[in-house]
This record gives sequence, structure tokens and C-alpha cells, in this order.
Amino acid sequence: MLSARNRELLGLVPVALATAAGFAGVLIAREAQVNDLTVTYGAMFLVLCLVGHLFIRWRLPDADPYIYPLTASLAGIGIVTIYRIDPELAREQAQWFVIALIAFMATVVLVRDISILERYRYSIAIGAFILLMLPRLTGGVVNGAYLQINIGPLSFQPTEIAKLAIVIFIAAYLAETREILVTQERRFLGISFPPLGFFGPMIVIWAMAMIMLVFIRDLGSAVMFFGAFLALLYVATGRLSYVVLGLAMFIFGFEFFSQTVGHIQARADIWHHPLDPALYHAEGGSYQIAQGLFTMSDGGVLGSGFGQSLIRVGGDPILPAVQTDSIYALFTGEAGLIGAIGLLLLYLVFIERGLKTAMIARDAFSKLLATGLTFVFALQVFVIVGGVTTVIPLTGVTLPFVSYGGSSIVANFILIALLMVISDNARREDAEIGGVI
Amino acid sequence: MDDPIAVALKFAFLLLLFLFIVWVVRSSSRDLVGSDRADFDPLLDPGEGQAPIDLKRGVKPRLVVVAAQRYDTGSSFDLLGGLLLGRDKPAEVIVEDVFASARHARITPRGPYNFLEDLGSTNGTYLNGTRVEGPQRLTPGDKITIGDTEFRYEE
Repeated sequence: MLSARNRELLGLVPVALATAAGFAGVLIAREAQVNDLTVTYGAMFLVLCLVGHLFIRWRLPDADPYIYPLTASLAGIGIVTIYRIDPELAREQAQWFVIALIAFMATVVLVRDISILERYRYSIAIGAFILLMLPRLTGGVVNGAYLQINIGPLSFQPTEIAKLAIVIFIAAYLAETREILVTQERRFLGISFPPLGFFGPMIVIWAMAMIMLVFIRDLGSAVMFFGAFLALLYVATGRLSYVVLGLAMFIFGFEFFSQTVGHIQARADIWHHPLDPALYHAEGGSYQIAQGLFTMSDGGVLGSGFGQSLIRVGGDPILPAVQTDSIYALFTGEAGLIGAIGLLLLYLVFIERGLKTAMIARDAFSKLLATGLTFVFALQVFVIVGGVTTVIPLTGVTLPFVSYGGSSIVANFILIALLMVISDNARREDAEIGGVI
Repeated sequence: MDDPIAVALKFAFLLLLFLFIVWVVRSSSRDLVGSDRADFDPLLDPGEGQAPIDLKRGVKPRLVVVAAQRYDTGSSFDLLGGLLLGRDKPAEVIVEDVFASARHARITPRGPYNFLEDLGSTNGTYLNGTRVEGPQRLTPGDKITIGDTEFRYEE
């Protein structure tokens, strides 16, 4: 039987080969535009994978062996697709991987004991709130949403980091209060209601989601945060009625604000009628969604091949936000339905490993944190893939590990660092206790 | 447009992707660590009134008060779902002791055993006179001390 780390190394082999095949495919298809030297970005990516692996061997010997290769496979798909869009962007993305890997290592070293996060939960919550409000106070508007702060030439999206902080806070809060929530519940008309004192924090979190909706104008993040909160509430208490109650509150809030706030109303219209000519040609209309749909259908089952989808006509981009929001549409166009299924399966297996980590974790906080991190990750994939395929209104969040974008890559590497620390602790204890039993 | 090498590379890419997925799914389902305890969950809700874990049959783990401000000596707490010990409200066992932290220590069931764990308290938790570092398995008769407060673990 292979040790966990040797298994991880074995898993990196097909990932490295697939990434190499992808790079070679792009190089052949786009000889005219692509310079041979740019292949080094792919080599750099593979070296980084190996560095990360060696670090995990050293610091997290017992962690789950699949999380890291799955991350590498997603990041590999990402860098191949970004390289195909623009080699210059791939160079920047490779640099972001270096920073993200450093953030990963720093997290593992600093958060050796996960309960540190539980102890500083209120500081973390306040930090998250400040991070969320910063762009509204200082920053720039991206597609009608306040998401960025600009520090000199660098732009940074604090929601990405805030999402982790909020999950940490909710997990710590519920680890502490879950027993009270269950033992002091009231029953009314056969439905369990949480104790009154609990409504305070619940309304605070609901209000935060609504603030995101109205002030930061970011439906995607609001869905992610509130969804993760409800998932954790269910895991902590086992009461479906609490989830239904929370969901009702969220839908009520969304309906109310979509009637009154123009930005949200417009998004909903675009979602219902993406191919309506009037909306298609309107400023801020459904052009992006419709072009994404065309690109995806163009790929068919087997895909048009790397570098074959049209993303520019004579220098003008015809697939907007191709390296961020629409990257899923581009990958589906070029790798086909088969490729899209593969990509979604990778996410699915990643989520399975996250929930597995939560299952074997020993204490309530680790369990809730692993569940929350996995859910916020899963919801992010759902929000963007669902948005591009018009299952839900499109909102600009990144496709984790695949989309171009520094803050997203860094935040998601911190997320897997936390998951792997929890997994390492749980699996080591499991092995020790297993010996006794 | 359709360079045969480019097409071959695309299929190689897709094939490797699926090989990788199949490998992860197959080998992770054979992953034995934790699989036999996968259905064990300490986040069990005490509200349902059933034993949260499969402790050894017929065993009733409890925490007996030896010396405490708030509770009578000899009274005891059922340990079926684990317990939180601390000075303030979220704790189920309120330890009125100047040396106790708000959330001081936790007893968690794990498989057929209960484990005692200090939650980073200021003054520490002692098991049979030794300061607790990391989770410790409890055996009947163990003395748990927080400041001047003392409990005994019984099954």
C-alpha cells in the first residue's frame, strides 16, 4: 500500500502530462501568435506543483493525498486555457501561482493548530466586515459591482479573502452555540424554531448578505456566504426547519431588492431572456451571456480543439471577460461537452474530499470549518457555472483555480491549506487511535 | 485548421483528465483511513434523545463531581454526547473557579472512548495531575482537575 504522499506524487503524473499536452496543443494550433519561449510558463507551473508537493511531504505528512493533485489539475486546466487566450496573461498567472504557493505555505506554518482560528473568531469577523466595505469606500466599480480596491498598479478583490474569514467565524460561532440552538428550541405548529436569542446573530448574517446585495451589488458573493451559512447551520443542528426559514428570509430579501434596486432587476431580465435582440444589443445587456452560449454550443460534444474557438474578430473581443467569468464557456467550446464534464467531475471529487475531511475531523470546529470551506467552494463553482449556462442569473465570481485573477488564486490556496491542515490532524489521530482499537 | 497532431493532443489531454478522475475515485474509495468510522459524527444532536455514538454496550459514561462550587459532590453529568466545561454560558458544565476560562475543556466521544481536550485555557486542565496537551483518552476513575474544581470520570 502506497503512503499518502507517494500516492499524491503518483496523482501528479497524469496532471503534469495533461498540462503538457494542453500546452503543446495550444502551441501547434496558434504557431503564428505564440512564441516558443512562452512554453516555459507551463514548465514553471510544473516546477511549482513539485515544490508544493515537497512542502506538503515536510509539513503535512498525513494530509489527504487527493486534494493537492485535484487542485493542480484544475490549475493546469486554468493555465492552459489562459495561455491559449494570451501568453502574457499566462505569465502573470504563473507569477500569481508563486505568490499563492507562498500564501499556502505561510498558512500551513502559521495555523498549525486550527483552534487558533476559533479563539480569534471575533477579530476575524470584524476583519471580514472591513474587507467587504473597503471597495465601497475607496474603490472601483467592476461591471456595476463594488469589488476592487486599487493600491497603485495592483488591484485586489477583498471579497475573496473575506469569504474565508466569514466561514471561519460562522464555524466558530456554531461550534460554540449549536447545543443551545437545539436544546432551547421552541415548537410552534409542529415546526422547530430556534431560541429567540439566536435570531440576533442570524439576522446579522442575513443583513450582511443583504448589504452585499445592495451596497456592494454582488449577488454571487451574497449567495455564497448565505448558502455556506445555511449549510453549516444544518450540519450543526440537524434542523431542516432552520434552513427553510433562512432560505425564506433570503428569497424575500432578494425579491424585495430586485423590485427596488435597478442593478439587480436588470440582471434578472438578462437571465430570463438572454437571446432577446433588444437586450443583446443593450448597453450592459445580455451580450456576454449570449456569446458564451454560442461559444459553448459551437464546441459540440468533442470540442473544437485548443485555439479554435473565436474569441476575437480582428482584434475586437467577441467573448467578453473571457479569462474570468466566461472561461468556462471557452473551455467548453474548445474541449467540448466531454471536457466540461471532466472539469465538473474534478470539482465534484474535490468537494467529496472536502466533505470526507469534515467527516473524519474530530472536534466540532474542525468539522464545521471543513464543511463550510467546502460549501463556499462548491457554491462558487455553482454560481459561476450556473451563471454562464443560465441556470441562475450571471454574477461575476471566478471559477476557482481556473479563472485568471490573483486574489482568487491566493484565497483558494489558503482554503486548501486550511482543509489540508484539518485533514492532516484528523488522519494522524485516526491512525493513532486506530492502533488502540 | 485541423492539424492531426493538434487533434491528437486534445484527445490525449481529455484521456489523461479522465484517467486521473477514475484513478482518484477508485483509489480514494479504497482509502481505508477513517472509512470504517465514516458514519460516526460527534456533531450529533442531543435533542433526538438517542445515544450519539456506539459506545461499548451497557456502558454509561458520566462525569462525577468531586469538588465544585456550583454542584453537589457526588452528582454527575451524562457524557453521551460529549460535554463542554467552562466558566460561562455556552458550557454545559459551569466551572465556577477563578482559574477556569470561559471555554475551558471539552470531552468528546470518539469510537468507543471518550477523550478529554483542553481548549487553550489560560491555566490548563489536569488529568490525574498531569497537564493535558492534546486529546487524552479517558479511563474509569480518571481525575480531571480545573483549578480547585475536580471531577471523576466513570463508566
